[in-house]
Amino acid sequence: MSEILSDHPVTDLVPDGRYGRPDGEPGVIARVVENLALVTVAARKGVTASVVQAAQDAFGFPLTDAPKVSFNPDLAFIGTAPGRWLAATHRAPDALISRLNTAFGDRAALTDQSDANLVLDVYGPRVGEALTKLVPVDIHPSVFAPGDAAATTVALIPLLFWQLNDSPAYRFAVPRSFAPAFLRALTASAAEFGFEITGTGRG
Amino acid sequence: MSRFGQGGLIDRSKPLSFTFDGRSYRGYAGDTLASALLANDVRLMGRSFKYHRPRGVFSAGSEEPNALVELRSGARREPNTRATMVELYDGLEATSQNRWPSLDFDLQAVNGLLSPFLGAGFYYKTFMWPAALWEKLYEPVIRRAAGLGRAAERPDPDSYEKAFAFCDVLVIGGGAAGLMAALVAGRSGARVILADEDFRLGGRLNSEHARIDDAPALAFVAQAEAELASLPNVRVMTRTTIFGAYDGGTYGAIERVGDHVPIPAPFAPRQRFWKIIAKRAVLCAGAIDRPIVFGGNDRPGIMSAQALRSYAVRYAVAPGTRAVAFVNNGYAWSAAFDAAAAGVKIAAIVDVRPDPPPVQMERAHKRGVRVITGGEVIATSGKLLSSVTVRANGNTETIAADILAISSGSSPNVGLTSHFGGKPVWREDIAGFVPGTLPPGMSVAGAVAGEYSLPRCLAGGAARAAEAAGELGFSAYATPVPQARDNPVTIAPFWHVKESKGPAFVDFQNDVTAKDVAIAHQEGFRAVELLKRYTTLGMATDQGRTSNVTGLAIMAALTGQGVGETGTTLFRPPFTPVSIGAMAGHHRGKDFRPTRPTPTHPWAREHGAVFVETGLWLRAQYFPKGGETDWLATVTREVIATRASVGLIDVSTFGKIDLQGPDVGTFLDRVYINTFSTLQVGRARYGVMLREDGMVMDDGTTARLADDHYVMTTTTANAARVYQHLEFCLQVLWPELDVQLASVSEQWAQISIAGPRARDVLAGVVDGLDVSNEALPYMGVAQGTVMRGVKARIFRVSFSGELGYEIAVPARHGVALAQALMKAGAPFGITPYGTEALGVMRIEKGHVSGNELNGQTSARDLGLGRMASTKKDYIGRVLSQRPAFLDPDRPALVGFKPVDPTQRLRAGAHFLRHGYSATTANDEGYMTSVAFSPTLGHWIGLGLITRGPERIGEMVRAYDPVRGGDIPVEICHPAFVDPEGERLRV
Repeated sequence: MSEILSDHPVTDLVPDGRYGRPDGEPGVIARVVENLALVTVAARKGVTASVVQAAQDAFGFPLTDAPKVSFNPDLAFIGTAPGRWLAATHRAPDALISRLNTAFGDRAALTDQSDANLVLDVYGPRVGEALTKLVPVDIHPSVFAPGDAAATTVALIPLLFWQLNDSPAYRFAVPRSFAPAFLRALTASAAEFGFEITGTGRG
Repeated sequence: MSRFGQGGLIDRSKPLSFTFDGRSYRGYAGDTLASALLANDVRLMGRSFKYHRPRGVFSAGSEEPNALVELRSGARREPNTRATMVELYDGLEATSQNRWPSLDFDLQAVNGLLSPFLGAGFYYKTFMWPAALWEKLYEPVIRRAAGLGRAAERPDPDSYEKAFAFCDVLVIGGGAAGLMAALVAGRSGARVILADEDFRLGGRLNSEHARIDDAPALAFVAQAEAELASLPNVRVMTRTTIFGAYDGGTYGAIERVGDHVPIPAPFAPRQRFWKIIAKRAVLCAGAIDRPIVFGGNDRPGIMSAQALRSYAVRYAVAPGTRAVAFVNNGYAWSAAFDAAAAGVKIAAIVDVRPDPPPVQMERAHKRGVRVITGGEVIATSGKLLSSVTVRANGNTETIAADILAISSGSSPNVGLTSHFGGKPVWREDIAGFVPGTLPPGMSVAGAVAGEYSLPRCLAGGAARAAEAAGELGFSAYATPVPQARDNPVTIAPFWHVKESKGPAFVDFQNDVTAKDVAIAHQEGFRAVELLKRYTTLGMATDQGRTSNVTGLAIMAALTGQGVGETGTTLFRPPFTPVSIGAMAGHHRGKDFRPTRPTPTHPWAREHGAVFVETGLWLRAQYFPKGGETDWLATVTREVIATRASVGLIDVSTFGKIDLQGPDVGTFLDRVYINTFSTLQVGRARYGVMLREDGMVMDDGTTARLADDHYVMTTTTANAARVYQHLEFCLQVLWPELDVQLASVSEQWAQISIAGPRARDVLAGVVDGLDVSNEALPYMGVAQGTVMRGVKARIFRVSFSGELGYEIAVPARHGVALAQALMKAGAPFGITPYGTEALGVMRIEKGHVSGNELNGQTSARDLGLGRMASTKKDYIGRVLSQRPAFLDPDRPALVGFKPVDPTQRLRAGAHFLRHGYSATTANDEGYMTSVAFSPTLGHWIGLGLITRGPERIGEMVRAYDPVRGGDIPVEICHPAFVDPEGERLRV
């Protein structure tokens, strides 16, 4: 339990601001990513290879059928299960669906998840130490690098996260109803390093 | 003061003040509470558990059985803290425990006089008759006498954390073997974690005058520490106890982050609970010194030989003025010599061996230490030890001594090696148990492996680490190993001085004596696990770390078996006590588990909702208005308003599963008892799914959005479980089916509107969609937009029994939809309602819910048997046809109303025929759900009763002994409102 949030409603997002160690640069920074369209792409039975190729044809890069991110500057596919990805782009959900439809046709099932998650970028000089208290995944650079992804459980919350770059920054997709609880756990874990969050407004 | 002027690993430039039982003392940085108390001549530190005998400190490590204290005060008070493990800090506050009125004068010490009657099995034999006194007298009395120390009575103000760490090689223990292991593995480039429970690396090297590579061993420790610190792939964790070995190379560890300071640093936890996932582990946990069992062996001043060495060498403390050693092994002699070199006066070494090795005799002679061979201590005296009586070669002699250092040899710290069931193996040559079968990925080195000599510790640590790293593909080299002198183990197994005076303690913490072991033997509790339970030998906070081996050796002597054949009890996690707070970590109070708000939560809060936890969700329970006296008044208003006009409720918590693919119809036919492949596009159907055993698992409506696209709803409670079940079916049972699942529970906010004016309200939010009865009939589904362009799915379904629609929009629009519906419904007095009104209306309608879908009911029990298709197979079909399920006497769902309409019904009441007594044999079933029906003006209920549907109109008793209820009720049809369903179709 984090004392710093003891008076804050558990149903609300942790409001914008600085938490924990008050002095110096924040060790951990979290920023809400707005307007990211997310669509589940699930290959139909037995055509995973064809879906991988279809991405190559349509977007210029093949999908990786693994917990990895395949991407170009405009579009990313995060592997979430065999033959299954979460497509992400900064466009309207319907535009993404129609683009994916054109690329994959009846080779894949598409499901809009743009409203299902709070997407959050987490970074900062002490991010690794803070995440050690949250993710049951080995994020040592020799094991987990930019482009790696994991579907896992953090503070009793099922979620997906992937590494964006080697600064390092990580992107978390947290089921919407679990977002307040996730932010409480993140705040508690990052407090000793100084934690700053933006994009949640007044919570 | 008994502090030496020089030496020791304490920092004399950093004096610290502390209190014990209210008195102030001084110590130094580097002290433990135990060493600082000894330095201040405080030798009485606690009272024993049962007889309240005065006790001092026995050990200098985590195995301490005696010196348990309450640390800190107020909300931070922590009982049963081992003084030997408490790192001294300025302002430390400690209090003795388990004594009254004072540590020095404890009235319960009278128990000692009763000890002839309080032996093994005392409770079992004494508190038997009369049975009426068990709960009223015996248990309260025993409970008052039991327990060690007092827990804090206020919430713990500190925080705790959990964390995860990963490594190639985990080295457990930072003594000679562990340091070498960490160096060898670290140099290979492997990711290494070295954990030690002490605040200083070095293990026994901190307490021995040993030499490595012709230099003091401490120089080796310092060099090793510096090298390890320079390796980026090595993490050294001091103050960290590895307490358990678990599956998949997982080790539990507790890091005492803030225990050595009065209050943890801002935003830092007191303790951190680590899960360390290690590909390999090298256990270098060392060994601990065992006591000898003889009369009067528990007086303050009697301690293990290695403890005496630690206090003298590491802490520069003389725990007394004149010491006698009573031993059976050469390692204990070297402990006495080291203590003497540090400044402790050794009056005599008493060795049970008639002929100790000449080399040891020579060393004693050189130091002028008197040796009594073939001797035994047969008595001691003094509340604090003042003398010992020694018998040797037919003579008896009393020697003045305030320290008696005892040792019956070393016990390897095999605890962690037993956590996968490995049985320790007896080694006669060292008179100790060494690890047997090891947990996967673990190897052992040094003293824990029975390799006691320093060069073997160093070489063993290096070799095991090289093997571990090598197996993982690293190039690790076990040589060169620093050089040290090899002292062979010399020991003559010896446990118990049979003819001695006074109680001879085996287990100090639980006051188990040699006599208790003899009683257990006499009464047939001879197997080691029975011995433990019968006598409590090896229980409580120290888990018998010092007592196990001597206890079972005494049992072995009684049965005439060897110690090896007698065997040892197995050790389970945790290795040392772990606080519950550390296990909880962040998940305390409001954060005990995640709270899930619904998409309309802020809107509901604005409307004054009272919320209720439903699983992890927080849902609006009801919306009170001014002037309403209680929840029932509010709920009654909400129901009446909904049935009269229109109401709305957030139903987003229902599980929502997207199913796509050419085989969805086939798939649904197999998981539901009824048929879905024939469902038309644009229509929804109520479905029931069973578990494999034929019990109902869940229910809900599933809609067909397109030929190959369905969306299923589940109950709130079973959302995750149903999804998991469907995944299992697809991955394991029918991998040939082409079906893609996706949970969309979080994607869609779903609001239900119900009541005769629901269509009018709906018409006010849709963007030109035809919602007439013809275009969108009962169980129809429409897709379109609402609120000028927001994508929506509209399902004409009803749980309340009224004309109803569920409108789904992407979750971010949930609040806006609620507001739009309120606006559109304003002319009709639209009323928000919560889960209570929903529950009332579904009971009025006779719909089943969680209370009926309780895992013990079949579809037939719930009146849903006719839904089951006979033309197809489905999960649970075969087992739902078991004879017991088809028994016509099986309780089945019906409604109930009180014969006297003013009487209240109670869920949980059992049904009895009139004139039958209230016995289990006469039980006919029970009430599952009740509600006050605003529509009917009296209480109504649903319940399961034998042959229910055949008995409509019959009167039975609703018998509720828990709340003293026993009233006549009438069996009726479960649908109290609109049984024909006319309102649904208008």
